[in-house]
Amino acid sequence: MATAVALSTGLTLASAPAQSFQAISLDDRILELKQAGSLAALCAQEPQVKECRFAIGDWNPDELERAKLAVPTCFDQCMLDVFGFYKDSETLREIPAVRTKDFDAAAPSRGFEITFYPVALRLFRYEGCAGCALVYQYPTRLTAQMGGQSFSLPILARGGYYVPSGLRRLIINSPVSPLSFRATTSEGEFTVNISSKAVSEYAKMLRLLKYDQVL
Amino acid sequence: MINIISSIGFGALLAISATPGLAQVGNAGGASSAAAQNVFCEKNLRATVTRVSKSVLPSGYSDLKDVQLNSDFRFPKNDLPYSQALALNDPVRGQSVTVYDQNFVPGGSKVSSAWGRYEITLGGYWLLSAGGGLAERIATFIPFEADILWIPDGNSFLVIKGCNGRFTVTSEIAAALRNYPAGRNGYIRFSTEGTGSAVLSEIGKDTVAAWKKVYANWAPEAPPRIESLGF
Repeated sequence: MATAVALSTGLTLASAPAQSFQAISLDDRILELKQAGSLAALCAQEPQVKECRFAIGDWNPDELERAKLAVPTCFDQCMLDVFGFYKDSETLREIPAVRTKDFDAAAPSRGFEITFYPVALRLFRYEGCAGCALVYQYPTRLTAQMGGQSFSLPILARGGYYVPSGLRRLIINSPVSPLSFRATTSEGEFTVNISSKAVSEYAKMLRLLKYDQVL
Repeated sequence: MINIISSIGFGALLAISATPGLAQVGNAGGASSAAAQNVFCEKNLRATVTRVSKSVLPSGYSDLKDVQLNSDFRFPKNDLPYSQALALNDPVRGQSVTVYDQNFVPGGSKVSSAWGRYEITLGGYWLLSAGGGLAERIATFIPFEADILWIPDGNSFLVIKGCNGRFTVTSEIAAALRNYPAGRNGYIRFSTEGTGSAVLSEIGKDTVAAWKKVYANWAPEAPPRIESLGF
């Protein structure tokens, strides 16, 4: 009987840590992320999500402040193709981002603008001309292509898309590989090429914020 | 000269595009007919200040062109498409969704309308011509702004009072436009400032179809910020 009790206790002790370390991928919590309204809010609700457990964000402010020392902080927006924390002029939050553009030099008034955040990106097509209104278009479908692999990006908001962990892993592991997107809009399908500088800066952001430990 | 007047008239109408009105607090679904008073129409000399929150669009308009209204009055050229729902981003008043429509006699009178989520604008010009033959033809453009609008609604119709060509959209108006039979042209009647006549004007079937998007039943909600979702 004593042996049986001891065995039972041992099993209980062994299973407890395993349960508490059961990590969930953010890929499986996209709906909850949308409902929470922010990654920080989701991490407060579900700390067992891997990105919340291992990566740096508002949920571990000391580490975040240390990470900010490594890169520039800019008001409103940072320069193109450079990883920096930009200070949101409305909320004053300092947000890590890499902003880049893809346009034909012969017609710079139309093209694509892409902003990478750790687990999401904003992408839209812009088209303007002298004296007329600037028109944005948000893809109704976005597919990333890198290293022979294709990733369909879930839509989070108008012009906002989730970056799946598989794509993040690929970017961290091969930051010099060409990355492109196939964007479907009501005007047709477009290929958006991301500069190698922007991809490597995005990889730098992911590594600095410890998203490489999530994988 | 005629062209200049025409250009100014048309530009002015688009300038009063149907972004959320100063008078409209909240959205079409939330405004009752009784409460929706258009402050532009107050005929008194009191100085007033009204604070209105900028409006935002919910998800569901990702397929629309998002027009940044950043061309000011110095650039009257406006090549926005007609009869197509557009998301508008007004630097002053916020986001809205609108469909533009025009009805005209080629080279003659024109009725221009903007059917916005929060506000309808209706105006244009009449072309009166005299002379011809051996005499010199004199054309006169008379701009107008509607102040009463009639909209059919099933077995009844709505009589909407506005002023300066602007009409506040209530939930009742939104429902009437949303439920307008699609697939064929629509009709409205309007009367202009200072006249008693009620002009019948046709609305293109594509505009009627776009009403279903513009006046879709939703309550305003702040959409998630992608930078918050991503970090």
